Amino acid sequence: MATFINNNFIPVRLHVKKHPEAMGRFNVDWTPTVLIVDSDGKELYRIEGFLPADEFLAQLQLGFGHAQFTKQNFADAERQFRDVCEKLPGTDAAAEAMYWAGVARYKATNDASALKATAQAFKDRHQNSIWAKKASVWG
Amino acid sequence: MAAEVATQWTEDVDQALKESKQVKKSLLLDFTAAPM
Repeated sequence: MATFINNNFIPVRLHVKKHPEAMGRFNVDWTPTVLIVDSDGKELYRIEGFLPADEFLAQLQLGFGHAQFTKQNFADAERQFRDVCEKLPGTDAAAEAMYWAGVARYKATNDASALKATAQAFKDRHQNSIWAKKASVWG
Repeated sequence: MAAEVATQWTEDVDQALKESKQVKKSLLLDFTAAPM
């Protein structure tokens, strides 16, 4: 966990009593809240509430994937999303990661078969997730 | 036995934003009410 954070982010920890101004600055009104923001302070991803370690790591990797996606680094985003699917398949983030892995591949290649393959993959995994329903339109 | 890696937290958002531009990494902001 710490290695992933140190390698991919500049980590900033803000205690609500010591840095109350930061709560307003980043529209935070509950703790724990974790934000991924770009170098202009623009929010890219938000995690609210406590999570067990594996779920938190999955959400963090999902968020990192979304940050790459926002920067149009679609191949890196897909790698990150697939990593969640393969290494943390039992987490709630896995279904969402599978959906976005398909989208990232489509954005990288402009090949719509990536979306169809994702819809097919949802027939074997995470069938009851909302992400399977979202992907169902693709095939 | 491998040494446990610790997260390298800072508390200075504005300095972190400046560093973010230089090293091309996003910030991870952890808002907490837990004792530090």
